[in-house]
This record gives sequence, structure tokens and C-alpha cells, in this order.
Amino acid sequence: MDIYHIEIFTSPEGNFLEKNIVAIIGLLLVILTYLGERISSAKRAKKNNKYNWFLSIIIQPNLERIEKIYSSTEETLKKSINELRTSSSLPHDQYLLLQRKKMNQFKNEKRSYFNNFSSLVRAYDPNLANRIDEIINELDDIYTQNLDEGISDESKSFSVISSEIYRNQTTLYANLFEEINLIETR
Amino acid sequence: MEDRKAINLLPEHRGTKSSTFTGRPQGKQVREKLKLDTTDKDSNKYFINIPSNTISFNASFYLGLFFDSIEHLKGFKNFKDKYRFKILEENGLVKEGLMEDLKECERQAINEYNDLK
Repeated sequence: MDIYHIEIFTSPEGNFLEKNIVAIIGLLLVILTYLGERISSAKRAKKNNKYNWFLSIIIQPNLERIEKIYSSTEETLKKSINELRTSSSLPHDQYLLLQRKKMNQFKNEKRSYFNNFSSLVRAYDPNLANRIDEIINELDDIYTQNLDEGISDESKSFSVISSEIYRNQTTLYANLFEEINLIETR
Repeated sequence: MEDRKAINLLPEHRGTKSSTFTGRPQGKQVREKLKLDTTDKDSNKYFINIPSNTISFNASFYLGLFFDSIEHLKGFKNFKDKYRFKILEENGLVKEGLMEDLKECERQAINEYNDLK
């Protein structure tokens, strides 16, 4: 059987730790400060990357397109309601078909643009993407309901319809910009 | 042939004089009327009949009507196995549009459910 023998040497003036305690604490403080700096600068870099990615990939390239979609949505909806009003003498099934055709103008554009936009946002934050989907669903409802009511007694004035559309746009922007604030304060 | 019972969405579920299904709260209200919390728990399979003269079936309504079922059945695959849709409208273009609407509804339901997990 092997026997291991461990000896602890102590100098006559006291052990190494006792003699150098101040220097060791100083050294540890330097190491901790350095590590703290490294961690906080890594966090800062991560936050900056997130901020830049959100701004340059999600916001900047899409802002103009979103603006255009909202203004064309307002224009197309008003035009479609007017067309439906002049077609109110059509047989019921043909009138419904015309209504759906008018809805498709918006729904096709909405799908082709906002589904991609939502996927892009989902890669960044799924909760934000769900909120955006919800806002776009509300826009879909505004469009659909107003076309549906187009010739009924309950139809709204164009100024009310416009304000519904632009309120929806404001909600979308508010959600996107809230994210920028959140990144800055995190 | 597979034996499925029918759950009928009715014109009055669309709202007065409306030909569209819209709104998440409205979908939730219809869910209560159709007692879907109960049918989710039974062992039957169902066809959900979308009435004729419907021109739009929006995602907001669909999510209000069915999202709890997707949660109860623990996923979209099980939901789709239990509930299938039948579009009773016969006009080709409108039917096609409604099928596109349902695809969009499903995309959003899958995303929303996956993000819950």
C-alpha cells in the first residue's frame, strides 16, 4: 500500500497567506474589477447589437412600405365602398362576389407583406410578433366590416373610417417604438 | 367514411345583416353559445359548417372561437384531427377566398400556440 505524506511548511515569520494578505486581496479586487468591466461591456455590446438589428433590419427598411400600405388601404376601401354603393342593384349572389373581390384586394396585399414582416419580427421577439398580428387582424376587421356595411344604413362616414385606419396605424407604430424604449432601458 | 357530428355556425353568429365573421370577442361569445368547452372534452369528431352567404372568415374571430380548444387539445394537430371545416358557400371565388382565410387563421393559431409553450 502506498502511503502519501503531506507536509505543510511554515516559515518562522508566519505562513505565506498571513504575510501577503493585503497584496492578495488587492490582486483579487483587480481581477474582480476587470471581470466586472468585461461583463458589463459585453452586455452593452449585446444591447447595442440588438438595438441596431431592430432598427436597421426591422424598422428602417419597412417604415415607408407600412406607410404606403396604410394610405393605399384607406384609398382602396373608400373606392370599393363607392363602387359597391353603385352596384347595389346587382343580384345578391353577384353582389357578395363583388364584395369578396374587393376584400381580396386588401387581403392579398396584407398577406404578402405583413406575413413576411411578422416572421421577421418573430425571429426577434415572438410576443411582439403576436401583438403585431393582432393589430393587423384588427385592420382586417376594420376593412372587412366597413365593406360589409358599405351599403347598409349602419355604414359610417369616410372620416370615421379613416380615423379607424389611422388609429390602427398609430397602435402599430406605438408597439414598435415601445420596443426601442425597452431595449434602451433594459 | 369517417363518422363526424356537425357543429353549425349560423348566420346570426355573423352579427346583424353581416356576411362576415369578425372580432375576437365575438368569436369567444359564439364559443360559449356552441359549448365548445364541452365538445373539446368528448371523444367525438366534428365538422364545423361555415354557412353559405359568408364572404369572410377573419383570424380574429377564429382565434376567439377556437384558440381555447387548441390549448385544451394540446396542440393544433389534435385540434385539426377533431374539428374539420366545411364551407357551405358554393361560389368558387368566395369559397377559395374563405379557404385562404382559414389558412391564415391556422398560421396564426400555430404561431400563437407555439409561443405559449
